[in-house]
Order: sequence, then structure tokens, then C-alpha cells
Amino acid sequence: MQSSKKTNTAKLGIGGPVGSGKTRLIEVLVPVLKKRGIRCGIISNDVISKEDAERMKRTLATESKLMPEDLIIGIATGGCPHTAVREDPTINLAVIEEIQQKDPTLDLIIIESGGDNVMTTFSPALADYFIYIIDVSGGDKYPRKGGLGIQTCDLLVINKTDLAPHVGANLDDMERDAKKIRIDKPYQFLNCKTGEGIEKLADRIISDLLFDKELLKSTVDK
Amino acid sequence: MYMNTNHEYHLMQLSDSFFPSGMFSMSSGLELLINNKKITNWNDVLTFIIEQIEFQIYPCDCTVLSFALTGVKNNDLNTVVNIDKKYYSMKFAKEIRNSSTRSGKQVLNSIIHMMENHDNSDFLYEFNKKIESKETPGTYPVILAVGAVCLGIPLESITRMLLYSFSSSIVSAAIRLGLIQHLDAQKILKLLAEPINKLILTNEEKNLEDIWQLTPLTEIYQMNHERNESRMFMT
Ligand SMILES: Nc1nc2c(ncn2[C@@H]2O[C@H](COP(=O)(O)OP(=O)(O)OP(=O)(O)O)[C@@H](O)[C@H]2O)c(=O)[nH]1
Ligand SMILES: [Mg+2]
Repeated sequence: MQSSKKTNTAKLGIGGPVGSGKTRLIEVLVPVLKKRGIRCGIISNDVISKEDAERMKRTLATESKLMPEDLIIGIATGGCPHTAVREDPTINLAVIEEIQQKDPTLDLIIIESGGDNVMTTFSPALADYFIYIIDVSGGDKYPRKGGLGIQTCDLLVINKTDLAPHVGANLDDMERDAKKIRIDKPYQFLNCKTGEGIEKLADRIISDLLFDKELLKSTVDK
Repeated sequence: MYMNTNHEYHLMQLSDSFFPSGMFSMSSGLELLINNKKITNWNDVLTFIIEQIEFQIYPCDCTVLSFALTGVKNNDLNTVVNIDKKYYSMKFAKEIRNSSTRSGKQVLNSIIHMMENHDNSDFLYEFNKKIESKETPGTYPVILAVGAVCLGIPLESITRMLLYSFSSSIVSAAIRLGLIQHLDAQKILKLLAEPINKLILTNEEKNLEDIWQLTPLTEIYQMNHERNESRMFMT
């Protein structure tokens, strides 16, 4: 997957409400991608600290040695998470350039947005592929309520399926509503605790963002 | 260079908080000063801005802007590079330096995008090459000078704009930090008009050696802010 110089590294944006599992998703995704030879850089936008970036530096770099620590960069967004990834992606774009300079052979840069509301979208200048992640504990009404993020993202992820019985969320209802609101765009369930669904998610990224059929593990059914 | 009678319009465009400059994530040390109760009300915010302008932004950033503007007008790449390096070396806090070059480079990208296929935009590309080859850092006030010349904005106006943008980013940070409300923010900006005007009209002859700044306490706070685990702003 490595090429000598890739100034246009693929960029994956991950947005979603506070606590829906954006950081956790990156933590389970990076090892799966790494196994398939895909090397990532990470930018973590955070509303009030650099806690998520520090956590990933620990879990993905120092503890597991999956990637160098300096390819994980935290950005404080001045309380404006959507501005930082949509109207004024200046700082994110600058940090992308810095990461590309550090390692021009990276395959993918993952950008986590700060936790925000359902209207979050990524500037097309910033992300080539946009995952919006919600979780079942916000209530099974969520896909139905829509919002730009849920409706227009390239992939809708419904996370924390393990919690569904505990919060009285009906996954069948969520699936029906997601199907309806997404029309013919993909969505999928995920359980970051067990990793259920993560291989399928990696397949989608590989086929729809990296366009690399050879690395596909399972067939992606849209 | 390119003459443009629409310079007032372009001035508004550049000074709009909607213009992508990354300014919304900067508080220039205000966050930590508020957290440490060194700034506790709207009047403190006003005083902070006036002091920052008088002892840092005007003598340093605005002087750099002015020399860079002359350099760009004269198509003198070397002079502009030297000014750019000098400015970079004068900012002690790492995050302040980083923010300046991060937003500088991205503002330059915007201007290049805006000026596509325009006559006399050679300087833009030449300067951009220097940044990409790391021969010059590409700091915000220098890039602003490049933009001002491209868009036909006179020195006095772009200087006023730089001071306004700085003030506006601080009051907007103060609102988001919960210290002041929106009406006080406008009052502060109104009260700043005259002191800013006075400074601009002093119009003294300057040398490159005259660039100075002296805000040690703020700089210490800015450096401490960098090490702060929990924070809302980049600077
Ligand atoms: N049970 C369960 N917990 C999960 C799952 N995914 C994430 N979590 C937990 O949910 C909490 C929030 O996850 P994060 O990944 O920090 O969420 P986030 O979206 O990055 O949050 P912010 O960046 O703060 O908006 C953490 O305690 C995770 O361990 C899941 O699939 N199941
Ligand atoms: Mg997170």
C-alpha cells in the first residue's frame, strides 16, 4: 500500500454527538487497518481538552506500538467543534499538511471532530469520506430524527449495540428508520466493546475511500 | 501591482470572522488569565486588549505588517522573508508561533484560491514556494500584507483591520469562556476604536530595528497555557 510520495493522503472524517464513541471507534479501527497494511495518522479535535489525543497516544502508540506518537495530534477548538471542521477548517488543514510532511507515505489521515450536534458535517476540503456515529443510548429515535450529519454522511454508524437491552432501544426500529432516512446510502451497527462490525467497517473504508479491492476481507453488501 | 477599487469590500471580507483564518480557536492567553482570576470582568478584558495592542500587537505585528507591505509592493522577496523570520523569532510561546504560521499558510491558500489567474499574482506563488521549502515560516501579519497588496487594500486600513481582528477574537473568546455577555463585547469594541485610531495616526518613521514588544506576564501565561491539560483554546 506504500508509495514513494503521496501528498494527497486519503482523509476520513468522524463526527457525532458527545460520547457516541468517536475516539473508541478510531482505537478499534486503527489496529484492523494496520493488519491490512494501512498506516494512519490521527487528528483529534476536542472541545475542552486534548484528553482524547492523549488517550490515543497511549493506547495506539506507547502501549501497542501501532503507530508513532507524533502522528497523533490534538486540536482544541475554542468551543466551536463544527466551525473547526466545516466553515473554518484552517487549523485542521494546517495540521494535515504537518502530518504529511512528517510522513508522506501515510495511507490515511483520520480526523475526529469534537462532540457536537446532529447538523455537523465535514468540509469537503477536509474529509474525502465522512462517518457519522451515533449510539443506541441516545434513544432509538435518533436515526428517525435525521439531521444533516445523519442524512448526508457517507456511512452512518450506530454504536454500542451491546447497550440496547439496557436502555430499551429497539435495534429493529433503528434499522428500519436508518434505511428510510438514508435511502440508498450505507449504515451499519457497531459494538466497539466486542469489535463486532469493525471488519465490515474497515472493508467499507478500504473499498469506498481507499479504493483498494485487494485488501478487502469480507464482501461489503450495501 | 493589481489596482482594485473594491478594497473596502475586500477589507470586510478579510476581517469577517467567517474568513477562514482559524482565529476562533485563539484566546492569546486570555483563557488561563480568566481561569486564574487575573481577569474577572468586562473592564479587565478591555484593559487586557489595550495593553496587548500597545505593548505587542502595534509595535510588533503592525510594524511587521507595514514593512512587509512595502516589501511586497517592491516585489522584494528577500526583505519580506527576513521580516517574516524576524517576526517568528520574536514570538516566545510555541503555540503562538504555531498558530501564526498555521493560520498564515491557510490564509495564503485562500488568497491564492481567490486570485487564481489574476495578473501580477506572481509574488503570491513565489512566497508560497518559500514557505513550502521551509525557507520562510509564513507568519500571519506577513501573509496579511501579501493579501492586502493583492487586493489593493491600503496600509492604514489593513493595520486597522489587524487590530480589530485581534480585539474581536479576544472578546469572542471572553464570551465563550462565559466571562462577558454579547452587549459588553460590542461596548468593548466600540471603546477600542479611538485608542486604535490614535496609534495608527501617530505615523512615526520606523526602522526594522524598531520592532519591539514587551508583555512578559502575558507571555508567561501563554506558555503555561500550552502545558494546560484541560483547555478550550489553542492559545
Ligand atoms: N458499552 C459500550 N461502550 C462504548 C462503546 N463504544 C464506546 N463506548 C464507551 O463510551 C464512552 C465514550 O466513548 P468515546 O469514544 O470517548 O466517545 P467520543 O464520541 O469520542 O466522545 P467525545 O469525543 O468526548 O465527544 C467511553 O467510555 C467508551 O468506552 C460500545 O460499543 N459499547
Ligand atoms: Mg472523542
